[in-house]
Amino acid sequence: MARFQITPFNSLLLTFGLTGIVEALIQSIWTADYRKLESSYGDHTWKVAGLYVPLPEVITLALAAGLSLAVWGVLRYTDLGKALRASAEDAPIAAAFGIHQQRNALLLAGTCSALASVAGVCLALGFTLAPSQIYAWVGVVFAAVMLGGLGRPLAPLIAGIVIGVSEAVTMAVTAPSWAPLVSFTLLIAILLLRPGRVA
Amino acid sequence: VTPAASTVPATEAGQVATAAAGPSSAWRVPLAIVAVAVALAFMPWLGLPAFYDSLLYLILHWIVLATSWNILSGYTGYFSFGHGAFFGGGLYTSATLMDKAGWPFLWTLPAAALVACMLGLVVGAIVFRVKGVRGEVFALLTLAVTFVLGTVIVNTPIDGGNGVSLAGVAVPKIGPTPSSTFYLLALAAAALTLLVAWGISVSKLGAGLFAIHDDEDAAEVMGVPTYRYKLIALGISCALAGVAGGIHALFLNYVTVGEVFTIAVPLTVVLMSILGGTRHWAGPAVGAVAITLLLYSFTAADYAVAGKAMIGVILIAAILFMPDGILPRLQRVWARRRPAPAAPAPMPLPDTTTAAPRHMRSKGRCCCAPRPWPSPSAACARWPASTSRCAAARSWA
Repeated sequence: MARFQITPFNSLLLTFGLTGIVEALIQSIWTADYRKLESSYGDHTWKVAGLYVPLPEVITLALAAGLSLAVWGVLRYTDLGKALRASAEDAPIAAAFGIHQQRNALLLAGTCSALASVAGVCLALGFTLAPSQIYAWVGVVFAAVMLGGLGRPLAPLIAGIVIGVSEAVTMAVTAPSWAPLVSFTLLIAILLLRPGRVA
Repeated sequence: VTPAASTVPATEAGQVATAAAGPSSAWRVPLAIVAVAVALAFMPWLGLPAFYDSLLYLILHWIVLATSWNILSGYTGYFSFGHGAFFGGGLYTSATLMDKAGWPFLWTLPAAALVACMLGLVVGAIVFRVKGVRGEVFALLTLAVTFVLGTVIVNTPIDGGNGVSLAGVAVPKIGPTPSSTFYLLALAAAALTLLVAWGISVSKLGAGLFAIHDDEDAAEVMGVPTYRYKLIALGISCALAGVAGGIHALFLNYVTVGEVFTIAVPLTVVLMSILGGTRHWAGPAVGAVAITLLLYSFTAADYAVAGKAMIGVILIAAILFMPDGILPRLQRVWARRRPAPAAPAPMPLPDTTTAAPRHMRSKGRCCCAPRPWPSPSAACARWPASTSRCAAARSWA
């Protein structure tokens, strides 16, 4: 992507194309059937004050909080983090000050993919998996990031909790099939009310 | 080049070009579309196996979807990922009216178009009012609309979660066989869509839409009613998608939300349009034919999954290496082979040639109106291929 001149919108299209390829690859290797990741601690639950807390979800929560804090720390205190934030704010000026944009962009893209794969493994601990499930998570991710605001590493943590709780409540009150409505309606509302924050 | 300075030679160039080409050339494109459609309409009576009807139906179906998507998204650059929603809106309108209200099939098609159009207008009326909703925000928003609509439909009695079966609905006897009926209907819809897309691209509306693509703020300042134009384009685009959905409902015979309100429909449509060329009325049709045939050959060879991956590969390759699409590239190759001054009159692809001078002419006409149009440089900028031609026309005039 660094080799070609690409607009942000085209990179979105590009990643959708990649998603299609990955989905087809997954389907050809593991078939389209639903699968579940079996682990020795998968069914382990603790009972805390009348609530059943499954161990995989505790691991997920700890990883999410830890990674968000780590990203926040890197962005805030290291030279690399400062360079990244400067590029995001004003790329040409940052480049004039000697920030190596291309290297940073590649580094960033790699790190983001790695973090996304951590999230994927966490999902695999608790949910059934199928190649077509990829798209089910796209909306939730966008909603969480947009609700928190782009470029703020700790905000999606809170936004994610808001969305997760509201989805769970929707599932409990109505039917599980209504759940996507919440994240996508939130996404629409956020994009309409504060489009400036995204661009 | 300032707009005021360049409109004058452009006007003259337009008049010269029109005079040189004669009045008949303006109607060459629609006549060609109608002629091809009429010729293709005799296909079912050739006695080919029903399989060909279905394959051709699918090609025409995607031509309608891709071309209708292009009317808003290609012309203005507002890439909509909600085409699945409007297509699905038409599809479910038609299915519900046939299944629950017992309407005859053909009467449900106008209703499908109307519902899809209203849906688009409601979405557009809200979305286009917010200034910041452009580019990727518009794409995400329309995608979210698709999933919201899908969730609502699957949870209400419209679908009920099990899908709608249309096995009991009679297929009208237009062609000799049921499959040829679908083929003829899709052919009519494709011809209509292409005519509309061509008509818009050469009209004042089209000039405004292209100006929005180039620079919306500048267009607004120059007097293009951007909000109204985007809304009109979205309405037309959705109505045509609704018709395609209505026909497809009975073609599928069994309708489920999972197949319609997905990202696959908009993604395929976007791919077809980008591959063919989004700034040209015929681009998406070219892309649709290419992609449908390609996917079909993969499916026929029992590599459907590989075909899915292929869509991703082609999408990436098209964005990286051919951001303008096949058609503009062909035009550029053609323009290089011929000397530019001779270009405006006779060309094997009459659309651009008639379109480019006509744009300038319509702009020239608007010069006398109180609200002038954005400069012809907008028209020049929108086709890299036509840039040289515009320059040539100017120097020529």
